[in-house]
Amino acid sequence: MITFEFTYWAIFFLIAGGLAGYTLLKYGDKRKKIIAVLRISIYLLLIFLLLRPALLERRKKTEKASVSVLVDVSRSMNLKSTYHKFSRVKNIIRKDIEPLEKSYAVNYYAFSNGFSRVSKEDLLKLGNPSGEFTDIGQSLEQIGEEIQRSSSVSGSAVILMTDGNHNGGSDPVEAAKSLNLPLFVIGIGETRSGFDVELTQVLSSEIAFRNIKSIFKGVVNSYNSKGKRARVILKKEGSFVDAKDIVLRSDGEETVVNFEYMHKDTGIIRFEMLVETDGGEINKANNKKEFSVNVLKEKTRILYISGSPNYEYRFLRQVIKNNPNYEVITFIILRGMTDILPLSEIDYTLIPFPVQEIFLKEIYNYDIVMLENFSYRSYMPPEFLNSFKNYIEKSGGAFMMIGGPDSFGGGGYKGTMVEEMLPVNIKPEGMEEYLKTPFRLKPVKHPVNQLSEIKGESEKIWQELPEINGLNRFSSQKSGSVVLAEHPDLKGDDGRPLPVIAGWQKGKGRVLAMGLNNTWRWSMWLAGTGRGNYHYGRYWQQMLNWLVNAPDLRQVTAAAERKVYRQGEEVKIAVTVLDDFFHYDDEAVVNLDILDPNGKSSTIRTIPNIGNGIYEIYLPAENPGNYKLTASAFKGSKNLGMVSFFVPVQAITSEEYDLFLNDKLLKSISASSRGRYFAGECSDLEKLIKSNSSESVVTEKKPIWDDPLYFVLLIALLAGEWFLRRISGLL
Amino acid sequence: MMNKLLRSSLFIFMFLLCFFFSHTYLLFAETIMDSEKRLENFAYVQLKYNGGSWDTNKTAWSSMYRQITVTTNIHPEKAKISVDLDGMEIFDYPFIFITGDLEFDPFSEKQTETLKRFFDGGGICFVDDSGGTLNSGFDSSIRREFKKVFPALDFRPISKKHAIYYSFHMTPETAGTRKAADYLDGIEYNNQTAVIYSHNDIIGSFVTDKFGAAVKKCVPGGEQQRIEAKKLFINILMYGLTGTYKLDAIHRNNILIKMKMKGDTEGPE
Repeated sequence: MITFEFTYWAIFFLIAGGLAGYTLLKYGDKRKKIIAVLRISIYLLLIFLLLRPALLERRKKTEKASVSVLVDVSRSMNLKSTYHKFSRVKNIIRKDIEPLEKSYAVNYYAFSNGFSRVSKEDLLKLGNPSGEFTDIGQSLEQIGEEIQRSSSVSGSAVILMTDGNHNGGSDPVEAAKSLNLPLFVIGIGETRSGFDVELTQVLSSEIAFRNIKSIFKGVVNSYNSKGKRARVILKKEGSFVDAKDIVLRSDGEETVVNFEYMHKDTGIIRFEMLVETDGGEINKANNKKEFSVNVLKEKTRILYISGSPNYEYRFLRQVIKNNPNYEVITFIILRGMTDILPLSEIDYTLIPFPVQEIFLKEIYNYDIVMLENFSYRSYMPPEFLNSFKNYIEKSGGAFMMIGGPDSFGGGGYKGTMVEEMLPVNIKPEGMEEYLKTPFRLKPVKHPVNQLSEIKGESEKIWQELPEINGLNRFSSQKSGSVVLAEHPDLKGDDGRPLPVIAGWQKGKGRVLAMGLNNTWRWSMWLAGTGRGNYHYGRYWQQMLNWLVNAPDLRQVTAAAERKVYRQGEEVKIAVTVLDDFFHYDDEAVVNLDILDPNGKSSTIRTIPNIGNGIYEIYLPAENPGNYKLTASAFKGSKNLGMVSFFVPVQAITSEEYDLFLNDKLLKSISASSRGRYFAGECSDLEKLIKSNSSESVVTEKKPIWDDPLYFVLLIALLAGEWFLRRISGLL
Repeated sequence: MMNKLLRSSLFIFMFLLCFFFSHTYLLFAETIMDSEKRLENFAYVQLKYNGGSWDTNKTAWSSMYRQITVTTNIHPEKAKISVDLDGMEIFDYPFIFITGDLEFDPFSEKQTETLKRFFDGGGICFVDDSGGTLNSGFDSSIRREFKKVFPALDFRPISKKHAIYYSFHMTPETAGTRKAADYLDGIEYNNQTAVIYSHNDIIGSFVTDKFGAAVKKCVPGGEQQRIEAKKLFINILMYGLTGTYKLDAIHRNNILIKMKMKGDTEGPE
């Protein structure tokens, strides 16, 4: 059948040409009539070509259904029990899969760490599979997506060849269910024949919080083990934590062991769970699993005690409340001992100040204790303050005393344990001066005083801050303390500039003494100059962060590129260094102390800088276990800080020790997809796979107007017409 | 003639000397005042504005001062202070009072900006309509000016569960010398109730004569209403100094127990 395009206007030309031809034929002589015929033929041929004629061809076409073959190329497929697993895979491809190619479009895919389409030849050529993981779930998800994408081809089945040593993240049974195609699973390998216990997995959250219990769930599978006993042990950083005895269940059944653990330390903590038996196991390498938990501080809990209702309290409370990482409990002395209560007790919202409970018991539950213009004398004996020593030095609590007439010496703290904890020497009551002369605070270079990242901007903001009055005059700073801000003119008893704000590390905790009670003025004043009150909030946040040694205020940070490394790999370490003003520092000297898992220590000096404050180095992970690395940075003689962290190096993975076929899992996978499971070999695959092949009528359009033959014919006609005219003397 | 000239010169000289010393003294005195500003303490600071009457209830402060110092641990400055919106002094006082009973002149653009910055910095303002009526001239001026400061915000009645009603006294009634409205209006800004607006002339309940007798009658509740007005004033003051402190869990539980004892069912937010 022939079709034409541009029909309407071509018909017009055809009619016009016909009429012209008719006129010529009617009125000319014989030769002229031949010329006219030739001209009409040329004209008609041109019209014909302009119509772009094409031939339509209809024929039946059979579209082959696809069969996807998924082959496990992980390291465990390279192991040999009574047969080499991957050689068996190749045999099955040749013997049982190849014949399917006649009836189906067979597509091959390899999976391990990743998933990719491969050719049959590539698979047959592959000698030693070396993938590090087996993620059956993810590969089934991906094959599902692949089949959906190529929607022109209808899928009929998926064939999976693996030993079932699944150690990936996705659930393979769920993935098989959502595939909507029968899954024919060919299990490669042998099932366990002797007594074996395997710690299949440890379930734990990667992140935990200090002082909050974590649950570690160990899943133990045992084989040929009926009636036997085992002990599951939990270790932290190599030290025994807890153990539980279990009675092993019958073949392949899971026993779940739960450990509860209260985290006391923060950071990345390495744990190990292992199963011990009385012996006789055919494989002991699968009895142990290592895992790590990143223990974070829970919300920073602040206890704020204020001696009277005042603006410093309201503004500071607002800063604390605006930070979701803080939780604050406050007590304010709303009514003094001499104030009168003219109404009944029930008409007031006042509550008794639980002094004993707070200072002797509850204090340890807080990360920061703040006393602001609060004199203890009316509420408790000085002995109650002794708990501050344990709280700070041993429990690592932070303490801050904020000024006011009732703070420091004015509050009667001279000679108490609180004075011992403070970074400044204070004057006794009566001798202490509470200065009312306004002065401009002089901050020193320190991260807590850094109010902007823009160079020079912080100093400018400090200059814009208003003068302040109301100062507790300290005697002097204590040795080992750091002065954060000082008086511009006055001197301490030691002749050095008078410290106004000072801090220090006291045992495990940190302490700050702030001889001011009017910092709220900075919030109001900065807003008055049009800057808003951001910098006031930032200053206090930094102060609180310094107190709890928050990572935000560390100038030296370091990390490995990956969480876990394998033995023999190179570990990439990056150390980031910031200067005193938190700008990237490319001129520091960075050293790295290494303590390997065998206890051998070494130091790498002067790690190369790669710009942007980053110092980078590669280390060989020679031994399995935890490497403890400590990076420290110096600028001249000044220590900018140091940071310690662990890099876990794994010796082997289950890909290397798990010889056995996990037929239980593979049976579940095939059952969930209404497919079938074959152990080690398969037969009659072609019969089992229900063909989804389809037959359809395809119409194909073949253009004929662009054939060169028509061009030659046109030239011939034109040449003939020209020749006739020439011999007729019409040219 | 010479004597006359000498005497006149001496008189002028003495006059100039006196003027110089008095002026110097005043300047010096002002410096002393400034340096002794106890900014950590609460001060009763009224906003001066043009037109209307910004200093109504002139004699209330001494009675307010007595009430504050006798019943609470707040240590107020004894002197009454006034600030305007033309300088930076307002930023020394994070709690200001706007009182009046008449319509007043609109704030200039600069003054509106100053007031906006005051709230940006964390300031709180208590507005008291001394007329004790709704829809007064003062009320329309206040609404007009605060609309300029907070174009997107409106006054809304403050819930009885708000921290103001629990900050010191337990749920005082909303009253002043009048009971024009049984609610306080407020504007929420910067994570706090930045503007607290009473229509009932709360400060008027403190006005006394030189013998200490109340000057303004409290209508319709009489002396009981005055007690409630004073209680509410103390609570507003406490809110200005402690924020939502009483809504912390430890205090809220205690408040709920006391409320049950009183037979009330509702509690703080």
